[in-house]
Amino acid sequence: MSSEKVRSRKQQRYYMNSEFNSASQHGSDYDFNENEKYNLANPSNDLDYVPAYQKDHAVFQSTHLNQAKLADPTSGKRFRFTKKRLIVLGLVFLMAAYFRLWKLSHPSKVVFDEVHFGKHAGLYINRTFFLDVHPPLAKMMFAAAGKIFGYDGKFDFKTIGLDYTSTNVPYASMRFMPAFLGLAMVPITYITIAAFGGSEEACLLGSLLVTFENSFMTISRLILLDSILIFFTGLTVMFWALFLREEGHPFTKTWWVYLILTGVNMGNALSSKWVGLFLVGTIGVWTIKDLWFRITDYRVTLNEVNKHFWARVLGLIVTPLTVYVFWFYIHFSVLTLSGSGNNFMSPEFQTTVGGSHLVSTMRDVYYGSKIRIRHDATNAGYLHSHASRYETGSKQQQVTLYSHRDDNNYWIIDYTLDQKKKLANSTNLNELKPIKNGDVIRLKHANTKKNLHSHNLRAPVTNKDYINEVSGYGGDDFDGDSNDDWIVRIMDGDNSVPSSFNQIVSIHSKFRLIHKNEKCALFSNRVKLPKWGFEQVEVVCMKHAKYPKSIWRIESATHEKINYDTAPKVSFKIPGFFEKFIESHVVMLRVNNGLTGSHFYDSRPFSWIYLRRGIGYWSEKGHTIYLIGNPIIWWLAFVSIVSFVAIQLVLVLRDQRGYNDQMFGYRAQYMNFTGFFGIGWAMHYFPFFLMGRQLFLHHYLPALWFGIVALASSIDIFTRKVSSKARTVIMCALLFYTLRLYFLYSPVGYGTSWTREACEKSKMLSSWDFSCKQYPSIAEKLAKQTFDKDQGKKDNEKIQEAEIVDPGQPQPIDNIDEEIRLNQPAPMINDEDKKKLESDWEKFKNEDVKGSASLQPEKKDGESNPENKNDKQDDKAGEIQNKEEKKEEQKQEEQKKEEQKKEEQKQEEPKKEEKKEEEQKKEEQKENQQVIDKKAEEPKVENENQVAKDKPAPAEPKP
Amino acid sequence: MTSVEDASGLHHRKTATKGASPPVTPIKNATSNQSNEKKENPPISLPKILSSNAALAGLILTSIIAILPRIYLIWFPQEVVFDEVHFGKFASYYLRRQYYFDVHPPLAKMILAIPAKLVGYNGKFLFEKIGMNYIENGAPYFVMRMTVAMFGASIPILAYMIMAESGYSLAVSFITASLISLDNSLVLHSRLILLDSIMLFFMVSSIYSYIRFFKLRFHPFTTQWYLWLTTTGFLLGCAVSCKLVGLFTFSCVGIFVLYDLWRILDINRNTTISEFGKHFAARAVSLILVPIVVYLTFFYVHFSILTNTGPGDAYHTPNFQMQLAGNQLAMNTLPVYFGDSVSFKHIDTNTFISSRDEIYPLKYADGRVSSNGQQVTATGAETDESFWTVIPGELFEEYTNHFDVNGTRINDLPIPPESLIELKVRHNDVVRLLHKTTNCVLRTHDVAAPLTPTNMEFTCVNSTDEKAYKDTLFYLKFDQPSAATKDSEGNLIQEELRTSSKRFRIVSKSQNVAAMTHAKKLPKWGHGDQEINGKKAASGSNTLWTINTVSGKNVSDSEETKVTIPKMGFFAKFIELQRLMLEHNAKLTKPHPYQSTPASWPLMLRGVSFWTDSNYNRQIYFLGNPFGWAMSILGIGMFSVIILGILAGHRRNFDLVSAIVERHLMRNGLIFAICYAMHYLPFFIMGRALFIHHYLPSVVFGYMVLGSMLQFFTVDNYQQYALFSPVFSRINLPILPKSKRMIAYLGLVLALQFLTFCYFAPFVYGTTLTPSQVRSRKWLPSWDFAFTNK
Repeated sequence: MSSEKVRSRKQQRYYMNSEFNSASQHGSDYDFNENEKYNLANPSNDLDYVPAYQKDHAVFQSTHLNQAKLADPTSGKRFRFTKKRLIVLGLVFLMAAYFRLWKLSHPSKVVFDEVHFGKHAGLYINRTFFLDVHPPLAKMMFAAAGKIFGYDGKFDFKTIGLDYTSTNVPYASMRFMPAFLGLAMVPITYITIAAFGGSEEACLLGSLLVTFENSFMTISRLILLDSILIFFTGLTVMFWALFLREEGHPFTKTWWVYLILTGVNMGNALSSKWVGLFLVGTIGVWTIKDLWFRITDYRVTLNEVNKHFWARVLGLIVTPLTVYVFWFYIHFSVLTLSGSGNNFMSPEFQTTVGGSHLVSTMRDVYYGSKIRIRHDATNAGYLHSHASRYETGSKQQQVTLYSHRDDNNYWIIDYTLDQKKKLANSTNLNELKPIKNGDVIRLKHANTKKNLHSHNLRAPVTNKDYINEVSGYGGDDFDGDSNDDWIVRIMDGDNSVPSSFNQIVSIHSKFRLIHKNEKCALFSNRVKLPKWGFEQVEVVCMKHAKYPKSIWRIESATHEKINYDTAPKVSFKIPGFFEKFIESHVVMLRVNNGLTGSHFYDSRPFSWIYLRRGIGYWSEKGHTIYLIGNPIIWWLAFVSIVSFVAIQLVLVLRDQRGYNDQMFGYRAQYMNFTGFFGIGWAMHYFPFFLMGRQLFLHHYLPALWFGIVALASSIDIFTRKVSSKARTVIMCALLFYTLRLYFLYSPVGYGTSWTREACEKSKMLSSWDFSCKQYPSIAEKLAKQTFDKDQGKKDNEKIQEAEIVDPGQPQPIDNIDEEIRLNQPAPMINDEDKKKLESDWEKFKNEDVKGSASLQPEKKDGESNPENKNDKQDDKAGEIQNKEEKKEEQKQEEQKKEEQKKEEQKQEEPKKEEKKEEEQKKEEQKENQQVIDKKAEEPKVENENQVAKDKPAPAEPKP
Repeated sequence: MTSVEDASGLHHRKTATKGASPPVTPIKNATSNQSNEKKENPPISLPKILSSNAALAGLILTSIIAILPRIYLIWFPQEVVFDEVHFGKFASYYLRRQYYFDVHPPLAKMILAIPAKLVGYNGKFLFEKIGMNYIENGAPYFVMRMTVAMFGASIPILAYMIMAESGYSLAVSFITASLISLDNSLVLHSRLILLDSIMLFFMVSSIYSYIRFFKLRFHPFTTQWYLWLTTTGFLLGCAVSCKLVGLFTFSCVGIFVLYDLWRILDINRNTTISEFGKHFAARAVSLILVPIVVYLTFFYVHFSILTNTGPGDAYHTPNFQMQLAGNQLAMNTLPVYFGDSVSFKHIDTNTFISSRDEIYPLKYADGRVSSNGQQVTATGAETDESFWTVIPGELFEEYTNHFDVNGTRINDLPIPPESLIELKVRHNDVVRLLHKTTNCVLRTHDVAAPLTPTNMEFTCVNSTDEKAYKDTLFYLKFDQPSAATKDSEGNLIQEELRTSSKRFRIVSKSQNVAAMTHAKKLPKWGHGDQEINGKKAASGSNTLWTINTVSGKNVSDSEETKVTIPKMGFFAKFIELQRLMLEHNAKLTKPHPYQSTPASWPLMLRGVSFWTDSNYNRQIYFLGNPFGWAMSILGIGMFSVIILGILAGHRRNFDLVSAIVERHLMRNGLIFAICYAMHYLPFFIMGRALFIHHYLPSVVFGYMVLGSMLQFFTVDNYQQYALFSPVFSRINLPILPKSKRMIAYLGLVLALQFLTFCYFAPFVYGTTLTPSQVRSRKWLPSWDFAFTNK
């Protein structure tokens, strides 16, 4: 290294630092100007420090000419469309429209998550309240599309593969909406690249790559949210790009328009899916960078800086938030009827959704009050007990949480044994005494007369040292023991009823029940009991219990000595919009985090970058829809990101050595253009690593779009200095391969027919698991298949019958069903359990004849409070429905059995066994028939019993 | 400019190689700016040394403040407290030389074992339960706790040295060290047999060592420079060898080194690439290679101490276990012959492959259909139904001479020894498994298993069923097969199958799936047994089985019990242990009643109850010093604001603070802030159960950030505190800030820290408190002390 060269490099390094500082392209690392010298003979002036800006200022005059080298040639220039560009764009759009809208109505079946989003659209149209983990905008758009084209919301999109043709669902029109938005990504990409200063070729390349990306095509043809999310993401970035072009003319009308439009669309993206938050992060990072390196420069007046800052706060924080809240406002005002989502919400929330039967109840609670206790944190239901026993631990009577109101939810507050002894002499026992904070009480189950009890035995499901079982103990002849004593600790009250802080008041007092002996708190954590517990929710007593999940409230109270009508009442507060907004978000977050189950097609983020496998959306003999990307685009997009990072690293290291490369003058553009999309890619990709919930390939699609634009821009910038011929050749080669692969994999995207040979040949990675077996081989294909018109109906019937589930069979991915099931009534009690219940009941009856009087089903009882009447009616209606459904199911089951038999005969079992089996089955069938007959009769009986049971137990035991 | 240079004292360090340094011009105190001659012959009497060397006096005073609270009442309670259960136990195992398994690396536990060994303890007490009495059990808990206390006391001392080295006024250094000395949580952790204090010592000392190294940057490649660099690497290695959290310190030093290298690379520093290469190589060797060697060394020592079988065996593979003296696997094991009836035990769940005369239901609850074949399940107990006769896949001559197709003996003639060798079951053999009680053979086929639809069903079919024949052939693939040996004729002979000591997979020949089971229970029709199914990927521990017993053969009356112990080198053992440690560490996700989230740590929302004694209302409860923690959070907040303000000021072309103050903050303050953040933020992305004691390293560094803020607000003559070693160079430094009011503030901080420490001290020392006293200390409702009411 000759000394001359080194000297010039040092000088360059010196200038460049000041350039960076003054041109504000990069960080102002003021350490550059420290004159610390390693290896110098006199290491004297370690503290000889001159602040950066002073030197900076000194050299500013001499170096400002160099700025031109670094400055982005496009920045500040306004963006104009030439006629030529418009024509090109129009042609590309028309071509893309053909590929995106072709055969949109195929398949005429419910595909993958259409199960959910179609159903949600229906629920919007019916205005019934539901809960979903995604914000409402995209689903409301589907609902609007459905409404416009005449969907009445009756079809329920129950399973994948149901046929649309026999229903009147305007599914093609509903699919047109995402397809059109997906199509709109083509011009959006074009304009975005143009606005970032890309050449015409780059614009064309980028938009064509988006057009021929198989995954975008597949996902935009179905009723799924992702296409809408990608659309809003793209739109936001487009307006952001246009906004950046206006930075030379701040606070003009166009500047404001673009800023606000960026914000509005950011809000829309966020309201479609929470993944929109990553978009907020992307724009946020870029805004902070902009503010720090460009706006806050000392040559800009403070006033100006202030204006810039607040303009961005308005445009990029206030606007999106307003939009987000606005869509939720619409959401809540549309969904006004009670529905499946009710059970997730607090009782306060439920009062705002019509059809709820939460009415006011008696305010004061005394010893002897008959109460219904609600678990406050989880909304999983009421403290419940019934006459069947645990099969583990103590084998005592079960205590559970049950989400539906029935008669077994009632408990009576009682004095403890000690207190009774104390009070036995005085007449106080019958006095009305409120329950104060710190009182020791017992809770007696109204129907079975068992006390709420806990002891040092492990709980049935949650088997932990610090968790005790909770059971029903004692009875009428036995008074129980001190393990039935619970201390009441009031944790919170309501200001409207001041007494609720130190004595128990219905609805307003939130309290814990601490077991006196074991010092554990009554607790529930949404854990289901096994089948013997009717899959109701487990209730345990936990030492050092977490605060919110050990809190209970009284939802209704009556007392035999108080006239219900004249007693003071309380009712749930009606929450305002923001309270509802916050509550629904808490629940959505919880459910979202709960989506940890595994799905056949789920994948981890790392496997996305190399496209390990796709997602099977739907399949049927000879047709498949499988989400898979265009491999060349997919891989090259990632390569462009990696090469950007690598090149920047090398450049920075070389800068430090004074080389000061300029990349033919495109360095700044590379940084600002590809860099923005690199950050966008990273912000849409890396956060997924932190997520514990199940993830799918389609979560990568927004990142992929950023990657594609980064790819187009990289190719653009790296080929600028190449001859135009070579440039054309490179781009055409890429396009050629893209097209080839697009058409190669389009059969699984469109769900059109294919041949087995072509399918097998096309697999680039062995891990791509679309099944080739289902395609006919070439020979078979020659014989053309004709479609039956009634095929749809038949298929629907077929699907209703259970099939052998092939592991690769697509299933909807949303686990919210599981959550809903948790909140649903326990499954109908089957015969065995019922017998057991009955025998328990018999035993119980025989055990204590005296007490049984109160337990006898009372058919005449006029004095039930209005609340319970409602319940009863609802239950009745439910029962009848259940009955009908059951009958239907039974019919179907018969059919299923026959079908299966046939199938199996054909498929698996050797011939010898056939006959035997047939005979067996006939017998079985007979038996079944009998059972079914029995069942058909039984529900009636049961029903009556049920109705009888539902009537509140009489206030006083009758002789 | 000159005054700065004069005051720096930079090139008067004794460490400079040239040695011939001009007389120092240190400043006696802030008011009198006179210079002092360096004393050639220091006086010998201690008081004189102290009066002329404030730094040393401060060091001694710091030591006293650090040690006293840590050894006060250290013999109480005479009972096992909290995690002493674990770490005391592990120390005992070292003395017994019995193998144990723990998720933490061994160094800290070995250090705990040393003093116990020195006082002649033989490891007889195993610290089984919290509350067990030490005196009765004869455990040397006092010396063990004293060791921890010494390590714990050295943390504030090191903090003092770090602060003094980094150019903080002695008063600020002293106060910071005292704040650390009087933090309840740190005191508590250094009074009990716990690992954190030892780990903290190595963490803080490696930072100290790095600072010493950095200060030698103008004398690179000297002996001193190498010495401190290597020491840093060694201490980092020790920190990582105590707990894997030491990696955070490692990454802190990594950041500092990268930044340093970045500056060296600057062409304006006149470094050539080859010089840069030398810098780079020296750091790479010392800070990467040395720690790795240190880490390996401690494991080497670990393995050479623990040579006997112990409670940790069961975590390991049989090969590993057989290395340990007295392990059952190496002693009680039998070879398996064709024709033997054996039971297969699952490694993970301790269940046995069984079958019974019942069939799978035709249709499951979810609508899927089964083969309706005979059930094959995994049962918890070994019964007659869990024995299977091993038959070769293709019957060969030796076999048919003695057995029929069903594995029963044809004749009673003794089997000659030459065919015995032939009849042994070996690695990769193809076998059929005949169920003993129902006479059917194990089969797997392409039908979805009852609970796991993605896996294949296992069933049992008639042995004469020809169609199913190919589905009944299974490979027995060993988990760690040793290399095949050659017999006298030069044929390759695979390793033989033995009971217990060999783990293997049962892999179907036709379907290529391995038998696995998991803790899911079958419904009623399966009698609550576990499902057995065929997993497509034959990997993971849930497909591993071992032979439990050979029917009719007993270990005691056989002569073939001796096994040749397979060789296993140190690295193989090391890698296996590392893998296990990581696996088990990741598995620590079970919720614990005292676990907490990282976000709640700085606010000290939750403590941990260590020990309670209801007789005297005594308890030990983990709680930081509320005043100190609040102050350090405040300090960190202010520090960030000031740094941001300075940077923003540069953008606006003005200086918020003077250049020298800014430089000091950016260097000597930022180092602490980075250490704080790097020891705290990574916990946010950890999935395992976390406890508030994970925050302790950040507590120490947080106090140091607070120290830098104290300096910023109280001391105005920054020039005087340049980079040199006050403790060792015995240069008199200005001790106190100029302003009296500032001195009063500093005193106030220290006094308040002391008062809150004393107020909460009963939770550290376990002294009696009345319920009302406990209640008055319950400043936050979430501090769940015991004995709050009575």
